[in-house]
Amino acid sequence: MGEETNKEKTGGRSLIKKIYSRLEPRSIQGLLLVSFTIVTVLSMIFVGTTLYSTFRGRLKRAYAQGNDAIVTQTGQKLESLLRDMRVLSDTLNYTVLKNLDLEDEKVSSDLELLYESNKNDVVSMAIYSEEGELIATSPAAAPNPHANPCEQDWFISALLKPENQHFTPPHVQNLFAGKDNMGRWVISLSSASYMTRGGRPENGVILVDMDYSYVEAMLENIDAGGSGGYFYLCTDDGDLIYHPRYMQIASGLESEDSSLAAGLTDGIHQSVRYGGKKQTVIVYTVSYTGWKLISIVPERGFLSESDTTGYFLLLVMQLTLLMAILLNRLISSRISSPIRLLTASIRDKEVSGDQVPKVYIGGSGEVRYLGRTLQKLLNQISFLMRDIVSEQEDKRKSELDALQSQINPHFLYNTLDSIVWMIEGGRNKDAVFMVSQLASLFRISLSQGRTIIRVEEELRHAENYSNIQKIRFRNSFETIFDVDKDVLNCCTVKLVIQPILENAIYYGVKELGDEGRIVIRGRREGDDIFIEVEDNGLGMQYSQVEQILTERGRRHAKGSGVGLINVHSRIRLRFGNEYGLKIWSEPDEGTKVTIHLPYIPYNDGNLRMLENGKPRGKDPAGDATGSDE
Amino acid sequence: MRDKMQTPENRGLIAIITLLIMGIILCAVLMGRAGIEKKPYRISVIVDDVTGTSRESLTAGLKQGALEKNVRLNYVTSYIQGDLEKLEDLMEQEIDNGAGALIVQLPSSNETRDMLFRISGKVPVELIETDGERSEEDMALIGCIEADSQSLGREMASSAASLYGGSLKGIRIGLLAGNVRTSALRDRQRAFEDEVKKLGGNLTWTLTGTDTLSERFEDKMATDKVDIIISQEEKLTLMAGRYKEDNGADYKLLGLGSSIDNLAYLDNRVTDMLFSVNNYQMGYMAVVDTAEVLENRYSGMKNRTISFSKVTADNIYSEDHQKLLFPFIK
Repeated sequence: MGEETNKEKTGGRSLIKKIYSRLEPRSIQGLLLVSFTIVTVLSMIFVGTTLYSTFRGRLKRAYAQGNDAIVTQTGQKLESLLRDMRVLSDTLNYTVLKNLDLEDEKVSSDLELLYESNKNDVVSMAIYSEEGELIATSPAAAPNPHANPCEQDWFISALLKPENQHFTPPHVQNLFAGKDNMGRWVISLSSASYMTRGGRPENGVILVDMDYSYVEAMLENIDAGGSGGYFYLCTDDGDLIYHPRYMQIASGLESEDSSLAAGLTDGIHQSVRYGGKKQTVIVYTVSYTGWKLISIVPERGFLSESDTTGYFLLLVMQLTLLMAILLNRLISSRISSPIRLLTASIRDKEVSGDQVPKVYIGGSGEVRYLGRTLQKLLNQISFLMRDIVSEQEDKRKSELDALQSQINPHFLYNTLDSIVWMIEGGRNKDAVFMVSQLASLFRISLSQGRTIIRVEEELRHAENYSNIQKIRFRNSFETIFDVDKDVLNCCTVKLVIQPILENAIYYGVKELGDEGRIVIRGRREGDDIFIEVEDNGLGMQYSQVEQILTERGRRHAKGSGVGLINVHSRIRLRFGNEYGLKIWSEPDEGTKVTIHLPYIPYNDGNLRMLENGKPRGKDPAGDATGSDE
Repeated sequence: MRDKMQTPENRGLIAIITLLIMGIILCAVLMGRAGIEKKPYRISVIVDDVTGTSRESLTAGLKQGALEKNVRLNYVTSYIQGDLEKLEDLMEQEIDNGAGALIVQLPSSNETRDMLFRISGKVPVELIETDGERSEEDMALIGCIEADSQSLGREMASSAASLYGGSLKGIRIGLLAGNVRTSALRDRQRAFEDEVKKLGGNLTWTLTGTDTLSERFEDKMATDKVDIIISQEEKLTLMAGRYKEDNGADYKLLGLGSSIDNLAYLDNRVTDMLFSVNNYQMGYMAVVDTAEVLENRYSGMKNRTISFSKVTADNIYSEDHQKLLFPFIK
């Protein structure tokens, strides 16, 4: 189970990696563009969300406060209307009925006067006796014989609480006969009255009916201000008095949770779970009646219900995103352009000794610096390449010369001639000696094609040569070897001592008769070895010494034909420029040639390194002293 | 340049930019369309005596529905006396005048299949008060809103019996059946007659149709008096009530009615009981359902059953009844 989960996790991670690697931008410009765009979008989202919530919250509060103001204003207007009714009722009660006897005709005329001056919103005014008898009414109307006022709430509550005035919720008035008086919606105000009839005091009830359509029109004209909300009026029990969808609710097509709203205190109640949605409910209690004027403002409605608003927001977001992408593209292009030009100037270009690509140098300071540095680098590479080519050329030339000199036909011919002469002269022992020396000489010369041999071998080679020449030149000189044991097992390039020895014989001691002496010494000094070939011969002028190691010195000489410059070059090419030959000479005193080599013990590793052309100290595998394998 | 465009990054960028531009254009178009004030739907209402006082509740419901659904109503009173050909001509005329849908009161439910098939092929049709013969294919484009006539018929019979202690045995009953060419009144009559039989009664006479009904009624009253008259139609209830008041007749009167005149007779105890269909609801739902189909043709017309109330002089002004019987008309 755990394995499966791990496999799933690994699989999921590798899928994510795969997707990421496919979508990841390949260029700096792409990376910049994606980064800028992501930053822009995230900032937009953050700012947009923050602003939207802040704006929405404020708008919601503003709407709520606006609606609260409307509710308060409307409530006050309604109170004013109801107050007017009360004033009218009081006028009838205290001005007319208190001062007049009911049997006085003036009661009816005063009643009519009062009605006429208020008939815009008053449907009727009536005076009833305590027994429910209609005493007077304006406009004039016969009582409905089938309606008993004494059984109606307005009448009962007026007599029950004579100190108060009583408002009824809107209802259809049925107190008066006739089809024209049928079906009128009114709000009734009733109050008890102490009247005088025929000089006797009696109780009665005053009824003032206000036209409900007046209230209905006032409430219908309330502007919800585009918030998507609505207003309604209900009793404190939640019974609807006015509702914009009153008939739909009465028909059972819709419902309104008016009892919940009526149960709330006055003021703004936000985020109330009302009608299945979160809404803001604003409550205002109309004084004296206890009716509740309710405003319902949906929390989401005014911001999201408008199609146009939604499309507009979407359009703005897309437009902003498009502009951000284009702008970011421009900026990233400007930033990355110098880098691209720099890359293009060196892409697929070759550096050679003759040809250096021209690097683009431009853009910001950093890119310019990069370009200049790159150009310098390429120039240096070109120069080094030229150097290497030249070096390789020199090496090739030198080694070719050395190769050629491994078997010098002139020397071989002379030596064989000498051997023949010895055999013919019966000097067989000398002839055998000569042959063996010659064989040794050529064996070491060839050294199975190796360029690097032991110093010991090189010395033997020199000895073989010296012995052959001594016989040829009838022992007119002596050769002494004085070499430290330390030095014998070191690496050297082959054919370095013999050419010097040859020069010493031909240009030094040959003309000295029997007094010629050549000493070959070898010693170690730290990490260097020095092999000296000193003769007591004719010596050279200083000017000659200077020229020996130049191109002029490369001319073919007698003998092996390998000049000192060749030796010098081969040593430097193999081991480095700090090594090679040093020549001292004094006319009539002699000449000393010092071979300076690095101290590199002869072993397989060092041999491989040197044969491969890696000079001392530059072998990345280890130090110049090499490693024993 | 072409190579530059071919890189995956540039292709992706071009794709995103293209999508955004298309999205912007789409939003702009939708905004433009949403901003354009929607033309109101036009619906013609072809109902007998549509502007009369007996239709106040119905027209109040129609108006409220029209207000909410952005509908322009055109009222056509059909004095066609049951002539379906004339009705069809009237409907075609309204369609030619630009009506997007029709609300129709059929004078007869017989042989309406072809006519309804033809008309519903052009515009949606809402039938009110009574259904007609129609084929299965028309169901999506023809709706019907009517009262539950069978329940109404049964209720009329049982309410009549309640005035006589629960039985109609030995009671002389006259039935003003009205236009029984409509399925509503036919069903009502059948249900009433069945219930009367169950309650032990028998109909003394039944008057059907609309032509010369008033004269035939008067003749019946002169020659064949009854104890109780049940009326299935508003106008007939009014006629019977008027006759009763004018002639001092002493029959009990029960009938369909919700007009102010019928209510006045009820209030004055001329009529003993009224059965009031919620005409406001009928009118309102007729417009709302039709408008919904005009907004979305795939939604299909609906059939609805409207409630009715039993109203007496004692409860005419009850809180529920006064809302129903005296709708506040703006």
